[in-house]
Amino acid sequence: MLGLGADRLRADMNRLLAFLFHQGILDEQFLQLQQLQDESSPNFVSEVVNIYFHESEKLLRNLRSLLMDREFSDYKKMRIHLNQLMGSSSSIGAKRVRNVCVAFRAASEQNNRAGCLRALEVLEHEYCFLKNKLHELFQIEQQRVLAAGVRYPMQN
Amino acid sequence: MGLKLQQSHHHSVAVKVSEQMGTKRGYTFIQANRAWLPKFLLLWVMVMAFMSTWIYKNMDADNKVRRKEVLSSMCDQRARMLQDQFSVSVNHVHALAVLVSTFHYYKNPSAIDQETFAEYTARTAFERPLLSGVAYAERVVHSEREKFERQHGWTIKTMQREPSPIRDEYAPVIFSQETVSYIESLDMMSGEEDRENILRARATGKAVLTSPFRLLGSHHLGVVLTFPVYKSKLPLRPTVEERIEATAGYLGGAFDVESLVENLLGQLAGNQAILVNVYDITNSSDHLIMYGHENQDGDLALLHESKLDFGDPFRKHQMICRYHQKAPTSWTALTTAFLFFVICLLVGYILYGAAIHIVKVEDDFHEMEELKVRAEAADVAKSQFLATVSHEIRTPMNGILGMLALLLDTELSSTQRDYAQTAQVCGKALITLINEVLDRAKIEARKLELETVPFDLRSILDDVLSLFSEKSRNKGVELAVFVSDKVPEMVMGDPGRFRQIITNLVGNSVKFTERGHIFVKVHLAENTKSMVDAKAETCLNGRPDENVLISGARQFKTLSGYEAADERNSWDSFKHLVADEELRYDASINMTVADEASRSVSLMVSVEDTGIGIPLIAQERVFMPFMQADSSTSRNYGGTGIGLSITKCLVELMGGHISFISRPQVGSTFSFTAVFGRCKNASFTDTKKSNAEDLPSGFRGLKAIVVDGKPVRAAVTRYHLKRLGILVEVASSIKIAASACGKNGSSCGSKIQPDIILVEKDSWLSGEDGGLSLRILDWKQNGHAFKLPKMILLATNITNAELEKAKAAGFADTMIMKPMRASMVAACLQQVLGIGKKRQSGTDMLNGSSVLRSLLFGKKILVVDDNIVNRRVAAGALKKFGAAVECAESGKAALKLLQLPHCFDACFMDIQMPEMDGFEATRRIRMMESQANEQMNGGMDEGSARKGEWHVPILAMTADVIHATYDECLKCGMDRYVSKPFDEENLYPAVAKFFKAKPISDS
Repeated sequence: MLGLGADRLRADMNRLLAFLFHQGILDEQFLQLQQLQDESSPNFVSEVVNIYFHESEKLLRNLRSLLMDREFSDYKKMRIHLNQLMGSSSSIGAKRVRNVCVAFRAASEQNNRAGCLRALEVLEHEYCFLKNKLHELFQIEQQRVLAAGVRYPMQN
Repeated sequence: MGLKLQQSHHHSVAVKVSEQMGTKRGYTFIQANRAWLPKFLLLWVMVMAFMSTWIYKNMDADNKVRRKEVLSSMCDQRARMLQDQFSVSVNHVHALAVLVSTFHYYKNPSAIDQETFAEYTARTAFERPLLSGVAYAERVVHSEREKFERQHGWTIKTMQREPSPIRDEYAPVIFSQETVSYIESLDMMSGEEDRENILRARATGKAVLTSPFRLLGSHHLGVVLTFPVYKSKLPLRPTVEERIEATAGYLGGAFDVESLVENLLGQLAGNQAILVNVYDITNSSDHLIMYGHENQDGDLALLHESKLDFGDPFRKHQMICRYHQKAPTSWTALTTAFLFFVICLLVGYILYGAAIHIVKVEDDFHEMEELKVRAEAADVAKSQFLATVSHEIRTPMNGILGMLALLLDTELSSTQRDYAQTAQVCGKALITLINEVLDRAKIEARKLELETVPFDLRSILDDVLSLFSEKSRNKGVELAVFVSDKVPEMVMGDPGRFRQIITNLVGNSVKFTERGHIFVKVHLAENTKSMVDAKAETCLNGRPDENVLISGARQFKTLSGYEAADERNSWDSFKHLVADEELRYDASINMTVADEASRSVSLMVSVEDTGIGIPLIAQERVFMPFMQADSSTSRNYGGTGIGLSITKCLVELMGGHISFISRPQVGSTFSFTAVFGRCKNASFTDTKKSNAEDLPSGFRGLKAIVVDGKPVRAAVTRYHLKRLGILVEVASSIKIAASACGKNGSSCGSKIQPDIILVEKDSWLSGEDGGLSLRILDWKQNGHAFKLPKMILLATNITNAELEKAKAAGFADTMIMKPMRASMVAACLQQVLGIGKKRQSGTDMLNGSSVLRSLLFGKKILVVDDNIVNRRVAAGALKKFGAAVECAESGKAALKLLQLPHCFDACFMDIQMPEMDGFEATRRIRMMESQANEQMNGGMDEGSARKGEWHVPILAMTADVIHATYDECLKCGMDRYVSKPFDEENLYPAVAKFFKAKPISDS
């Protein structure tokens, strides 16, 4: 019974991943990341992604405070933040976030504050969406591992 | 990577071009003054005209001076001569005067009378050429007139021959030369000029001359010379009175100047050229002419005056000479000047023309340069476009591949799995193709470099064939590959390029073949020789069974039975190859030891098809770019025609050559050789292991019978099964196979017990199907069910009706659609036999990574990145391949960690970092290292323990594929770069190039 549950969970996970790929939220880099996970580092993906969330939230906060500043002019600093976010996003394969970052950076290069604000809105939205989806994914993963763990003694 | 390279290359070109433009803007002198050129020409012409006039003037002046000199010398000469002659005459008259005074007055009685005088003077007349005659007149005072008249017997007469009136004194002529005898008894004092002369002569005691006048008798112009004769000797300084007192008479002579001068001049050369006038200029206001005409034409512009001194200080004479004719125009001067002018004009025009030409050429040059810049800009734009587009294509392709990878993880039937795998392979091939499009530009620029990485030739061939399997299946064309056993499993070379060559050739074949087969064959180049020998042998045998007549049609012993252009691939030679291999299989262990000693292996690859062939006329241009057999080809079959030229290029880069044999309507066979490196021992064993993992090993030891009437095709099938470790027997028909099985079934002898029977569709259809199924039923009844061999049908294409029939005939298990691939066969067998499924999943991933693992295992690697996520991912990726990873979050931290001595084997460095970026950090690290190296070279003893030099490999990591410049990475001392995010396919070539020098046992 539980073994079947594990299979179903795996299917759910695959479906979710397929959805994320289809929507362009993730790209193949995420698969690469998953491949890096093995017995020696069983929680590699969630570990990396959590670091990513932590870093990104910090960056997003900084970006918002920079943009909200009344006499705002430090586009350069903003670009550094964006580059950081872009780099880490492409590392975990968060494609949509990365693309929004590219647009954001283009707006900042033109010193277009309104555009930047708009891009920040979109970025925050995308980020939240990604975060939710990935959390969902990890939850399923967690359940699957648990299910697999339960199945293990049954086989023996 | 090619994309990036190209990008930076073009960028640098553009920069270079703009630099060139900057320097070339400085125009030349001619270009700068182009508007002045016609003015320069005009000025030149004017200057030259002026100069030639000047030359003319100069030469003319010279002429004039010379003319003047000639005139003056001639004139002076004449004057001198006249003067000399005159003075000679005067002297003689003087002598006569002395004679008269001596013999007429000092002697008493006089020793001279008229006769004596006349005779003497006549005989001495040659002495006085200028004098027409001389006479002597005595001084008679009036008181003595009567006495005198009486004495002589005549009266004194005047010049008018009348008796003289009474005067104070007279001077009647008493002696005269015969020429002037008419003046005897004439009183000389009665003529105005004579009288004056006489008075002057006796006062001065010297010879005096009259002004010119018409002489008596001749009416020529003449002058009279008068000399005084004194009767007594004069005191030393006599006064005028004393002279008058002492005067006894006068000796006179008439110079007939006109005729005499005429005579004189006649004796001289150049008489005609000049006119001579002689003047008496005693009265300076009124020149009296003595000789010549007063009004003369002739050259009035030029005259020369010479002074004449006839010995009479009272009289002054001069000679004036001038030329008869005006100075002739100086033709030489004129011609010289004119020619000079013409030459200068021509020179000027030539220079002008040259300048105009230079201006034109420079204009053209600038125009060309501009066009060139534009063309290069267009080229840059093109490659940028290519780069962008290929990047844009790559991104969705990644999505597709990801999805396919996910799909492959699900439960799939063998067909679905095959489809999905094919799709994945095709997607990967498409990405490679995109790269190849970029590389084509590199080939054109001759900047292509081949990689040297170990790769599995057979799997590449399988991949390529599977790419074309759909097409060939639709056309009903058999597609097959055969690789000789002696070809090493792994070779060192450029798999991408090899794949490109094969893809090109097979693609062409597929395009142009409608029936028959396409057959790719790989063997060692050395084997060709034995094949040629074999062919000669069959020729000698007279080809007894070359063509076997089956159902009335000519059948050839090729793969599909159709005739092929190159007979080398027919079974007759092919079996030699196969047999040869089998014979030497055991002996080859020694051989391979020997072979491995040599570094390289030369392979011969041939691609045979039974297509339309290449027309004989077009055969020589096949390898020329953009040339197809004829223009209709591209209309009917499409394509650009560049494929074969690239192929040729690549083959030559691989150290081989390509050739083909083609017969129209029969087919073509392209064959090429290529030299690959053998894998080194250490990595060879590793990769071999990984390769074994690629193909499931669960089939080892299985036995199979292949039923195929065509030996070549059977050999191909056997080759694929052999790769799976299956022992294969070939039977030419079902009957033979069945009998072999039957024997086994009944007697259980030492013969093989087949686990699988593979039946070719053609053999099955040829009417013997009943036998086999019956035989199977037999076995079942005999209780051999547990050992029942699986029946598999091999087919290129199959209709539904046939499928039904096959199922009915007992091929319910499965059938394998051609072209065969080891992996696909394995998948089918898995399904049929139900083994080894677990191993199959995820093998694709392990394949490349195990090589990486072998390279990276145990290496200590430093990852430098400011982004913690990236750092973790990179570290995770490297850890997965067994490397020991340490992280640094900034360039400074990296510098601290890399302080010498350290024990890192490599460093992955992010380029964009705050504070100190990757370039700067690398520069500092390299600086540090070079210092250390210098010190170490000083003290060798310590350093020799390590590897000789400090040089930690630094690999740049960059996220931006397009804008990262490879050149800049190299410039600051980095060794290679990998694109971020990390990717096995990316990481592998970078690391492989890098670590290949170090054997794995190093750490």
